[in-house]
Amino acid sequence: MTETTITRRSFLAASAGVAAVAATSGFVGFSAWEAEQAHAAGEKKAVHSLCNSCSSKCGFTAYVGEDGRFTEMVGDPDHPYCDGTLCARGYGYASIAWSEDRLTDPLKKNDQGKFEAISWDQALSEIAEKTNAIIASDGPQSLIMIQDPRPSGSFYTKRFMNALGSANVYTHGVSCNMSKNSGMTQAIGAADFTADVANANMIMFLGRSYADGIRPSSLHQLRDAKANGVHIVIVDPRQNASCLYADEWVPIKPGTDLALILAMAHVLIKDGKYDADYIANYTVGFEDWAQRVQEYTPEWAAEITGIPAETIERLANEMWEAAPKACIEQGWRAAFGCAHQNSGETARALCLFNTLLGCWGIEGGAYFPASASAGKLTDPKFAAPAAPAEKIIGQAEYPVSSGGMGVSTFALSTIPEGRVKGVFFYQSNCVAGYSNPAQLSEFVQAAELSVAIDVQMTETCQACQYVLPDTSYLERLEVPEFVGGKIPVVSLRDRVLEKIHPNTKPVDEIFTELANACGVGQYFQFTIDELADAQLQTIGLSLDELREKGTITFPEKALKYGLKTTWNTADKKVHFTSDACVAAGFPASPGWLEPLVMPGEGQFRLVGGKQAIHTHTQTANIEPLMAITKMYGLERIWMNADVAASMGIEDGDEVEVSSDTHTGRTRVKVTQRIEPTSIYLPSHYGCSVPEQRTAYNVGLRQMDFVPFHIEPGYGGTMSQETLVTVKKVGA
Amino acid sequence: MMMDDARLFAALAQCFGPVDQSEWERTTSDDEWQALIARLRMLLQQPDAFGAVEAPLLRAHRAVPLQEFLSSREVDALFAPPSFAEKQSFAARHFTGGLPESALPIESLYVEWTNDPKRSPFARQKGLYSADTALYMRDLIADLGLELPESLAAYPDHLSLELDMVSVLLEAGRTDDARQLFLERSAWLTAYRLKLVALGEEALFYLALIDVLLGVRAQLEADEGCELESA
Repeated sequence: MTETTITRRSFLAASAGVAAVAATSGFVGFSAWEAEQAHAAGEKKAVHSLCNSCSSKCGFTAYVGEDGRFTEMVGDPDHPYCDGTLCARGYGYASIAWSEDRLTDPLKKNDQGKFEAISWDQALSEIAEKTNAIIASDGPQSLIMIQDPRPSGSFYTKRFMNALGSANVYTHGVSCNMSKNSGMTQAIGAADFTADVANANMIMFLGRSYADGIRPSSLHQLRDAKANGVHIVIVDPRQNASCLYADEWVPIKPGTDLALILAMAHVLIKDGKYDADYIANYTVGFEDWAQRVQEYTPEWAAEITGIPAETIERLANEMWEAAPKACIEQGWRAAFGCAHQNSGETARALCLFNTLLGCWGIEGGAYFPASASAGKLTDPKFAAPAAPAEKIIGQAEYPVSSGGMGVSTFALSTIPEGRVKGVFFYQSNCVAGYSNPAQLSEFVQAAELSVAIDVQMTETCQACQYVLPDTSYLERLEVPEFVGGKIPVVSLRDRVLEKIHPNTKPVDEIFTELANACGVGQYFQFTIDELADAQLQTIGLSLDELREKGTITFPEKALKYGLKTTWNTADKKVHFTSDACVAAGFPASPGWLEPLVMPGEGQFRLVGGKQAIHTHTQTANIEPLMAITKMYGLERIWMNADVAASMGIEDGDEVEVSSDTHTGRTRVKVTQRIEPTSIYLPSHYGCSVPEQRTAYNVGLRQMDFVPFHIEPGYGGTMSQETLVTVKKVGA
Repeated sequence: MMMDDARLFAALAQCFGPVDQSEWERTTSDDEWQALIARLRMLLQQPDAFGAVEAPLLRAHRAVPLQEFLSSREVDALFAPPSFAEKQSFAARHFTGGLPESALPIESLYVEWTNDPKRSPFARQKGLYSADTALYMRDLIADLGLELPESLAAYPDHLSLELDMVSVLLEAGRTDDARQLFLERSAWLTAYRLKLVALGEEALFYLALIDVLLGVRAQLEADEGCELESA
């Protein structure tokens, strides 16, 4: 065979020719190569990035060797969420970059319902053709986008949809903290606040567990609080992991936190134990609430919550004695982020109870983090498309829901009637986690166009017609992330690794190319590097500078404690009453609203919740993390030990769990760490996607047991409004 | 028509990698393919045939039926290579990542990422791209003055590149190196074979090729054993 022949046939282009291969002494066997590597002491490059294992996006530095791998990740001490520490998820999740389950090519579902790889050209042109056809026939508002907010994702998804003329950009909020944020907004005009845990005299947590849904800095605060002698009370149906730091675990029946708050308010108002000056000067509607809570005695609440009346009274008085360095912690998802029919109203009542304490803005009370942000971009090439005049679909139907998050489940439910015809997902496993998976999958499959962008196959990707392969978070630069805190910062997700799969694309390129294909590319005439640098230039920084440092603090903008006296409401006051709530069908000030379903004989409420090593379904396919699950049997449901004994169920038994929508089998952990009317099912398991080889078929999925329904007014997914029965398999 | 082993391994490399239509049609033209099968038959029988010029006596082995090494269905599949469209269709469903029926012929996915815990927190984990085998192949290709093709640059331990490297070494007259490389870089094919078996009928052509390669490997190992004994 001639050299020409072999070059023609060979994948390996012999730049120096076969003769050179013959002459070189370059061949080294694998063992010898391995031995060389073991002794190689190459330079390591430091690259700053942001974790992607949960929504906190902690800053870290990766040390990358000459072989392109990194051997070390170190949490950034200046990042407000990280505080110098990464959690187990942060380390384990990094393996996704190299995972066998990565999507490597654009995919299209064929006539048999199976995915096939197609070229980017084909994917982009077909998606654009369908998108434009939908716009031509039904207008841009018949297109929706659902995304789990990340720095670049938030920027590019909104810009893309607005360029098409659609206002319909949704986050994962319905299944996270939407009801909490929306309820708080009705009371204080802000979607969130921060309990000053470490400096308080007393803190009460309602369901939230810093040691389970970890943000490292929060956990450090809890550790410091314990060291400082803060009185820490954790109210939760389950003795969660944070109870290690607590003085008291108060078991409560799920969905009844509102009754506890109302009764504690009753106690304080009845005895005149509230900050009367603050209420007189900076609030409206107090009399309405004071009148309303008269009926909510501790005895009344004891029946509903399962907490003894004397405990309720004691806790209320202890909070008052600790005030103003005391508050009910703000919560996130757990008890009232999206869980029950009364979640929004629970959040509203929580803010009003804290108002009684006069804690707003006080050191040790409840503060509002200092913030920083980029300025407006003036270069015409960054000009944004006009904001659509229409409101997001679902805003009219759920009038007190957060428009910034949007009721994505409602928008999806309008697909069968033809109101929504095209749906895009970016890094959102909506189908598995936002409500009943079977129902959501049916909605998505009914769309004329469905596109998912992700790094691995998910239940949502499975339901779509097209799947576009994203790079992993370690392989891309994103727009700078501004993070609030006691000292606000800007931080950067930079490229730690070279792109592993050549046919994957980062989010900025995907949406730029989609926009070009759809004919709206004029809004995307810049690179991510140019955009990031331009944003930073508005505050006197540069991309190079942020790349060098990873996180830059703004000490001049640091939080200053002080009583908060003006609010972001129409009249700048705290609202004990809300006209918007009245218009949405709620009382002017929050009163008792029962959960949608109440357990009868032999029934339990199914509660979910995070474990420290997982983030919902996102990390279940990560082998190092799933190994921990399996080592400790973490996929098991929890059942109260007394109840289990009465049912003849023992620790480790195989049990069958049934609701109106689903039946499944798993093992049980029998424990006194859960109150008797609840079953706890960790919300990470039950993956139904065989492509996720590690996660597939491990444990049960909480949302399978939950019917498709939406919290009136606030739009939450009511993730814990379901009843289950449990029986021992084979009994 | 005779086919030497350099050409044989280059052709086998094409079976698992991205090639254009004209290239594939040349490779699978009747004469070429018959010559390829004839040479494979030889390698499956002769411990010392790897890289050797076909001697007259060896030609006698051409008549030995392939059924002695492969199942009859595999033999049928081997004699009927897929058309370019069929090859493309198979690749679109199985030579892409992240699907339940993905069967990418990349060694990294079947071996430990690295066995040196100092070099990675994911040492000893399997099922990850860019394992030590990929870094090794990348370095070897560079050391020999070769260039990775763009289409496979991310996967230096793709079976096509490993087979192609054997071909290059044979072509360069470095038979011992080719033999060592083939022995080292074909151990994972036993695990890969199971992926193809799971795909059933439609993967029979590729399964047949893998079984042939494993057969050649067995002969080489037997040869190594003989050399050790005689030493």
